[in-house]
Formats: sequence, C-alpha cells, structure tokens
Amino acid sequence: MIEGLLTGLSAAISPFNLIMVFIGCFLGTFIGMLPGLGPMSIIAIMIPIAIQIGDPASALILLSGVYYGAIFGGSTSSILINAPGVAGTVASSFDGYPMARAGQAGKALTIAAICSFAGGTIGAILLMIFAPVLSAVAKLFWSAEYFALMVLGLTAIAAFAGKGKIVKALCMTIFGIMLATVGESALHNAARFTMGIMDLQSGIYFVTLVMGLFALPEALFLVLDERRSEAMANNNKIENLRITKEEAKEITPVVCRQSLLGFFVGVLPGAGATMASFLGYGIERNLAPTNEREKFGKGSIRGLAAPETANNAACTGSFVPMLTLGIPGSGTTAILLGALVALSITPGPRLMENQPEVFWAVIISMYLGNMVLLILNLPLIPYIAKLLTVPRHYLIPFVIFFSLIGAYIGQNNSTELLIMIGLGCMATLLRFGGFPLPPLIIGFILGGMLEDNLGRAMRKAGGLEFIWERPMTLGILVLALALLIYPILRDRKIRSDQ
Amino acid sequence: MARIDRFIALGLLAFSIGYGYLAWVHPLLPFEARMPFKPNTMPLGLAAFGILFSTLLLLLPGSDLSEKDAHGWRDFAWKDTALLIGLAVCYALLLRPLGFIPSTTLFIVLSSRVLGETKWFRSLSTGLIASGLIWYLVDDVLGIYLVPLPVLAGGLP
Repeated sequence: MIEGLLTGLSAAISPFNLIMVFIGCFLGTFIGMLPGLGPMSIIAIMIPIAIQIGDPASALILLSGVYYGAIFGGSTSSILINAPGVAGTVASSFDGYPMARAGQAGKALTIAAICSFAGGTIGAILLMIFAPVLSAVAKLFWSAEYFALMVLGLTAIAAFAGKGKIVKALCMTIFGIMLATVGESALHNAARFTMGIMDLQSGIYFVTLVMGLFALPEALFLVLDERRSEAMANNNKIENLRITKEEAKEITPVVCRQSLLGFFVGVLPGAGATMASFLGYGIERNLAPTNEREKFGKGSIRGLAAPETANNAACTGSFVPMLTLGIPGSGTTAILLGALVALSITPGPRLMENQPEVFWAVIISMYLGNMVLLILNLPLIPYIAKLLTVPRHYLIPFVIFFSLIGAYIGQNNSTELLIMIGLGCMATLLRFGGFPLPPLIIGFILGGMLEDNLGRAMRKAGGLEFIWERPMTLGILVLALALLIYPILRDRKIRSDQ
Repeated sequence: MARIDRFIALGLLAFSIGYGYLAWVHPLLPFEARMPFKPNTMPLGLAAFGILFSTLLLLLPGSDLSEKDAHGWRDFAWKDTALLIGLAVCYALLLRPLGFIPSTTLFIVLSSRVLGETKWFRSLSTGLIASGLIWYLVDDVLGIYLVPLPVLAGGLP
C-alpha cells in the first residue's frame, strides 16, 4: 500500500499536475456557483479537455479538482442566496442561509470550506483503508434495504417538525413525493400526472423545483418585506470569518461522526451525497442538546457542518464501488467512469492490481483537490461573501435571473421558467401559512428513488413481505420510525414540562 | 378558522383528492394489472396520506406563527412584488423570441427600476455587461447554446 501511495504521490505532485488541480478547483468553484450547473454537468463539460491532456493521472487530477470545486461552489450559492443548484447542497442552505442573513456569511462559508475539506480528506483516508472490504458490503444492499434507507433519509423532516408543525411537515413531505411521481418513472414507461403537457413527460426538473421553492420566494420576500432586506444589508459585516475555539470544539465531533456516516452512505450505489447530507442533518439535530436543537433551521453551526461534511465524505465514498467494482454509485461517478474508459482505464476489481498508479493517483488527487480548494477558497471568502453587499435593487433581480436561467439552461425550454414562477408563488403562499418547505424538497428528492426501490422489492417478494423477511430492512425501518417519533415525543415532553 | 393555513390545507386536500382520482383512473396495461406493484400503487397510498394529513390540518388547532403574523398584511410591498412576478413571466415568454442578451438586459433594467434604481445609464450598463458576460460564459466557454439575439436579427430559434 505504501509503495502504491508513493507512486500516486509522485505522479500527483509534479508542477503540471499542481497547476491542473488549481485550474480545476478554480473553474469548479466559480461555475458551480451558477444554479443548474452541478458537478455532473461541469465534469461532463471538462471531459474533452481532460482527454486532450492524455495522461490519465493529470486528467483525473483536473477532474477531481473540478468535482470538489463544484461542490463547494454549490454550497456557496446555497449559503449566500438560498439557491442550492444541486441536491447534495440543499441541506446546507437550511442553516447556512439563516447564518448569512444574520451577518455571518463569511463564517458560514469558512465552516463550509473547512468541513468540506475535513469530510473529503477523512473520506479519502477511509477509501484508502476500506475500499476492498466495503465493496463486498455494498453488494449486501438490495432494493428492500435501499427502500428502507430512503425512509431513513425522510426522517430528516423531523428537524422541521418543531412547535406544532409536525402535520404540516408530513403534509409537505407527501406533497413533495407526489411531485416526484409526475412523468415517467424508472419502473414504468407510461407517463403519469402530466395533464397532457409534453414538457412534464420527464418529470419536474430538480433545479426548477428547488429554485422555485427556495431562491424565488426568498427574493420575493425581500421585495415584500423591506425590513427583511434592510436587516440583511445591516448585517453584511463580512469581517467575521474566524471560527472561535468554542465553535471549533462544537463542530469537531460533528465532523468526525459525519465523515464516517457520509463515507459509508456514499459507498452504497445510488445513495450518495444527498442522502448522506439529509441523514447527517437529521441525526445531528437528534444528538444536539435541547438549546442547540432549537437553533436548527435558524442558523446552527452544527446544522451547517453536518451536511457539508457528510456530502463531501459521501462523494469520496461513492468512488469505492466505481474503483473496486466498476459500478458508478452516483451520476457524477458515472460520468467519471466514462472519462476513465475514454482514457483507456477499466475500473473494476483488477484496477488496483493491474494499474496501481492510476488507482493511487485518483486517491491522491482527492487529497490534493481538497487541500487546494481550502488554500484557494479561504482567502477568497471575504470577496465571495461581498456578493451580499450588492444593493438590494440589483441583488434581487440577479437572484431571480440566476434562478430562472439555472432552470432554463438545464432543460432549454421556457415552460420550465413558467413552472418555476408558479412554484415560487405557491412556495411564498406556503411560507405565509407557516408550512416548512425543506420537507417538500426532501420528499421530492427521495421520492423517485423510494418508489423505484419499493417497486423492485415488492415485485421480487410478491408483496410487502420483504419488510419482515429481510432483517436488515426491518432494522432500518424500525430505526427510521424511532428517529421520527422520538424527537417529536421529546419536544412535546419538554413543552409540557415548561 | 379563516387563517391562511386553513385555506392552504383545504387546497392540499383538494389536490390530494384530485391526485388520488387521477391515480385511480390511470390506465393499466393487462400485465401491469396483475403485478404486486402497479404504476398507481404508490400514488394511491400517497393520496390517502395526503387526504389524512390535510384533514388533520383542517381539524387540529393551529399553534405556530406564520410569516404573516410577524407584520401586518398592509405593510407588505404587494405592488412591487406583483410587478416583479409579471416581469419574470414576460422574461420567460420573451427569452426565445427576443434572444438572451436583449431579454436579460430588459429584465435587469426594468426590475432594478421597479426596486428603486433611478439612473438609466447605470441600470442599462449593468444589464448589458452582465447579460453579455453570462452569455459568453454559458455559450462560448461551457458550450451550452443560448440564442443571443432576436430571431429576426440573426439568432437561431
């Protein structure tokens, strides 16, 4: 292993490769900030350039820099303007954006950068140690377990069920899953609930929904309530970048827990960064002491650190099935797999034996990508956070414009924009009614996977028998139920005691 | 009872019933009808849960503060918001026929003026520079085609 590691290191730290990783991180960060352009699209765009480079190690180092840069870029738009461009960074906006609104944009970005670095680096170490063993564990998970895992992911909604909002949170989750059933599903070819609109044949586009639910209503609220934008403008002191000792102490256990959890969730093909970030958020809320738990959704640093660490660790974890089994665990790794094949590398069980230099170069490039990202972005944070000091009469039009164009470039049709505006008005109304919107997006993101896995499991077992016939499924479902009910009962008890 | 969340709950109940009806009448192929998991299995379950939860919302007493409760309705800038939504709808409809650069410039200029910008030159230059730069980045650098100019002025539909 040491020999392989040294081979990878010597390949990765040549001046040319260092320039590659810098370029990758820089491009990834800035393009990733544009809503609608997630790591998947950016890597796809960069593949022809990577192939032109020729050398597999250099190409992978460039792509790895782009990958980590794009994830950080996505977190930046989530935190600063409540516009998460990719599903994996939605959970970061739950607490990151309230922090930015409270004048802690710089601190929120610093926490995001450090937690991403820690999650990615710990993930890379775990990948190095456990990759061969974990590929066997991943094979134990069947549709039934994936279905149970999706249900477990849905328990993150408990974080938004406080103060009598449980029924509203459940209502929003169901509504989100309903929206996910629009169009064709992976199991059935016939389109459902499209009302004859051709553009809905492939379902509601994720970016359209997320921009309609988060970015657009926020911009509309800034217009509706001038006091809100005045408060935001007054709170734009961005010199507050430093994390205090107490804060560092508070997030360290979160980072350790979520690096492990995120990595292991990422190893499971199909689960990925989104699942890890929601699960991490829900778990940390349950583990937090009562006074901290109240802060979740209102600007908790634990609430930001958990999904940021978990999604980066999961991104690294998703490389396990790709490198050891040749199975892409996520959309991004599927594209990277394509890039590897184009570079004449065949990932799979024999990669480590036949081309150890490539295997280790990928792992070293992850370390490098994370490190360069931190070095590059920490000094840039004050300038990135300055975005919030743009005058209100330009900031709001630009937030609306970026939301609209994010939805447009993904699908290239104007119907998406009209759907998004409709969703934005609906979300504004829901906010007036005190309905929490994150459960809706959690339901939407997990809904498609939930139906596919439930369908597969039911078809295989001939009904719902798989729940009690497979102990692992039953165990995960019982855990999910406990995670959903326990915090609600605990909150109710605290309220009745008060 | 006349609170906004009750009206929303009523809307969600109607939506769930409509969704459930569409799931119920969803045409199934002969082989699908015999399957343990049909295309409408989960939608029917979701509709049932939707009806249950929205009915609960209608029946249970509300206990939380909504955004509206923080300030009175009259304090909100409804006119500006409606104008901005109208501009966003126009932008969506004009993006293709008018092209990316003119429609984006127009949207930024007009919406910044709705929100209080008074200098035409500043809003026009911001709109032109921003739309030009973003078009260059998306179209030329990233290779995602965006119609830059009106169809009549040479932009492809």
